[in-house]
Amino acid sequence: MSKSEIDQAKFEDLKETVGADYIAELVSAFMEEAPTLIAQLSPALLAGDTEAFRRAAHSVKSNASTFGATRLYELAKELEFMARENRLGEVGSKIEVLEETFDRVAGVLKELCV
Amino acid sequence: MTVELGHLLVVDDNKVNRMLLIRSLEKEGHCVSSAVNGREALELLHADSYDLVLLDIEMPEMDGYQVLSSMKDDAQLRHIPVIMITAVDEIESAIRCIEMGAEDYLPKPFNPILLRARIGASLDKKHLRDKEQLYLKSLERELEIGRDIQAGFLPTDLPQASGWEIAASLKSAKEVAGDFYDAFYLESEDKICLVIADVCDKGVGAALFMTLFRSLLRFTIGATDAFGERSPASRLKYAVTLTNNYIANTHGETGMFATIFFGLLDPADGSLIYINAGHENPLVVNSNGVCAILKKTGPAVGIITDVEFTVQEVQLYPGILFFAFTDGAPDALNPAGNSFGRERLISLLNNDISAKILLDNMDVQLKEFIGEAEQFDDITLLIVQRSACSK
Repeated sequence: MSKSEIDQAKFEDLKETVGADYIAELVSAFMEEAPTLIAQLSPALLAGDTEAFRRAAHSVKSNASTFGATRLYELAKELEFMARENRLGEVGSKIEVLEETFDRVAGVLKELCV
Repeated sequence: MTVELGHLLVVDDNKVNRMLLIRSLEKEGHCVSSAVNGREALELLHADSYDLVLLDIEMPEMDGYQVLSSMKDDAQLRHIPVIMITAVDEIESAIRCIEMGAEDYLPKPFNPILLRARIGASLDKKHLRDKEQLYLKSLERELEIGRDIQAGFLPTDLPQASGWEIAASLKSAKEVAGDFYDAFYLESEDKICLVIADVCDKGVGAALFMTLFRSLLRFTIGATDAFGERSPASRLKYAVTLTNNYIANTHGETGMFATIFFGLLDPADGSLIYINAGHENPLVVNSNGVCAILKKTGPAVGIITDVEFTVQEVQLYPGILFFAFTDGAPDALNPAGNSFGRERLISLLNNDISAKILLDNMDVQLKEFIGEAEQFDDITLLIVQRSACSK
């Protein structure tokens, strides 16, 4: 598990902004919401629903940026752009990469909240 | 830095963003409500009062653009500032929202200092605007009181001598008017005083002077008897001269003056003596048309002391119509910018109908002519009609 998945300085800023007592709650909301969003990507891709795909990727991107999850942010952003530019044929294995990255991010965030 | 506090509405479908914003704003001391989509946001906005909306652009059901557009189309919500929440790579969307009327935008992830500063600035503006609205409302109330008091300076009942009909109307351009008319019996003389006047300028200043001119004329014409001025002509001259000198001496520095037509009508024989102090020429009309123009016999009142006001006389025979007006009537503009004109005004004069009907007809014609245009000057009309069969 690599702590490099999270930009530590950004995470500390966030912690300071919301308060140490609230950060766990915020992380927990992310843990709940992100898997649901990520799970929407493959069905949207199969159905050719570019808008649903783009919206889900956009939300993951937004949350990743909040927690300083830089790699997750970049991946989600790439997927969002593919949808925006109607290039979903290029998605390939990127959804799996995103899932794996999220799992790592989730592990690091759990550790940081202990 | 002191931050203005307010009731804020956070609109975002993303739970983490919502929680983050609510938490940050509540820590600042704001009261925060939230909505998960645009539709819910509009429902909340109609149900409660808010000082600021933080609005996400990307939302299912109804997105930020639609919410913003609905708010700007709604007179009740239009003035609530909206700060758009945008990702750093969505600056184009933020620009579009600002063009649509959003107050500002806030890039994600939120920077607490930027968040505080932008919300503070928007709330400052909102609160200033709220104060301005309150101030305007209280000003409107004051002007309404002023208008009611001023209305009390116009005669409620016009003299109705046998064989005569007097009708008058005043439509002010603003809440209070600088024009006035007056018609009352001069008890000791059994004569009817007829006054129409136009104080320079409009609005509150003119209205204050209107009350002064009106009261001075009423008082001086009544008091002249006590000063030993006996003849109607000398009483008339004395009243106008005293009023003129008082205004010019006491209020000369204000530069305020009035054009005044002041007549004394003897209802028994139809003679009308008058002073036309710089006023629009009243007309006397018989069945053949205009038969006399009551031209100026002195300058406007209140400019220079001790000027000469000459008294003239005209005979109002049975069936005749006397018509006086202020320049607001011929100068009234329609939406195309054309003026109503003297000719059109004169063409409406008709001896065969009652003064009241004629006056109502003129009011209607003027109102229809002005239409959607702004009435920029007070309009006052005074009609005196002597019935054809009176002796």
